[in-house]
Amino acid sequence: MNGAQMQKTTAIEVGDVYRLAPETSFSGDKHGSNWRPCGVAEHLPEVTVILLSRTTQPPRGRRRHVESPAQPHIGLTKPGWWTDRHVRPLAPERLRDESLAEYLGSLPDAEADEVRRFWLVTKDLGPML
Amino acid sequence: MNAIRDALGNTYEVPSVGPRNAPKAGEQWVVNVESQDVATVVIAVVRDTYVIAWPVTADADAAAWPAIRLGNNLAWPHCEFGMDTAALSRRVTAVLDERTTSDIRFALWERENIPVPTQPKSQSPESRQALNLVCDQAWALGDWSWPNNKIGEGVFSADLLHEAGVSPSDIAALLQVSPGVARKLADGEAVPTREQVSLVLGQLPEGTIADDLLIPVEGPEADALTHPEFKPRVVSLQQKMGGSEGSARSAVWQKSMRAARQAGATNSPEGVRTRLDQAFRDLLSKDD
Repeated sequence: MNGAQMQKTTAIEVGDVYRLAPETSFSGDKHGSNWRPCGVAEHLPEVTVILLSRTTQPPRGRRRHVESPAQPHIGLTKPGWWTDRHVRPLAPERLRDESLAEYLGSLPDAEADEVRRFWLVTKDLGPML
Repeated sequence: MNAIRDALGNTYEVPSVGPRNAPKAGEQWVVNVESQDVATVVIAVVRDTYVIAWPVTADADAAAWPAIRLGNNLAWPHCEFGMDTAALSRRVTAVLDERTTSDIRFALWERENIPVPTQPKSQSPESRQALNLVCDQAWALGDWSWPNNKIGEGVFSADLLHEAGVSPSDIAALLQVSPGVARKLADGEAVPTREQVSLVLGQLPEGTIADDLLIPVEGPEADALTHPEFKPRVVSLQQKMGGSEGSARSAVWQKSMRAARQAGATNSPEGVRTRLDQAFRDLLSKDD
């Protein structure tokens, strides 16, 4: 477990932010023992959740991104970025498993909308931002 | 042929050689990291130095909808993930055309019928376990990256050194290197050793860690070096140097940067390619 726990009991939605355990990767995660902040970009019910892993490393070159200001109330203590380089799939039931996922809260509506539009463009289903 | 062990523990074979053109959506590629063939993927989206890809496994009863059937393999479009182009080794074959690849992603998003044969919609504990294993592997493959800011692969952040008041002359004195070498280190044009990183960290505010001090190498040479055509020479160089694949790549980048600073050097694709070719020749022919 990693700090104060809170589990979301309602539907998984775009913009939900979780902290994921290193055990979600074969390699134990390059972030070592740190849990990794991820935001929901797409939910295929009963199949998978597509997450964007939030990075605090500035995006290189022309890498597409959404800026994400620090939001300490949901555990995002530094400014960061959502990029489609860091796309990660996960079974939805794993987001309900508190040994693997800690629900941190939801992004503000404006940032969640940006993430949704960003992911639509990545899916080639929406206009370029 | 080379054997690939998939996320479910099954094996399948892929040709040991193949084209290394720029990847395109719908192609199946071998992923090779640290000189090992570790997986194959189907390319879904191509970006400048990374791709979004679908995991591939051998045929498996445990795989459920919407895994799609590709001959003796299965692709998992619902488990797509981002990975660096530098991890791609060679093309196996074009399993789908670009339009069909896009249509599959659209169908998943819109909950429409997938326009290619899929596994049945039968969920079971075994299918959920298989899904978790495939997702776990996707996270691991996505975690491998180059360029990155690991020690031996990344360079000093010039901005951070400037903010901390650490000058090139400070670095020259601290690391006992020439002013020219110190300048390159301070400007992020040379890769510092572990010992050099440790010494510089000692001059920075308490709490500063290597992750803060180091940034990935960047520029035209770094971007070009992610192209799959360089993989065989990267593997040869890694085996010669004995370190990580990333340290071999960063050594090539550093060598090419020396040529990039010379008069008349251009950033045209041909100029960048020539510098990388020369860097590989120099490093691969260098006596140990």
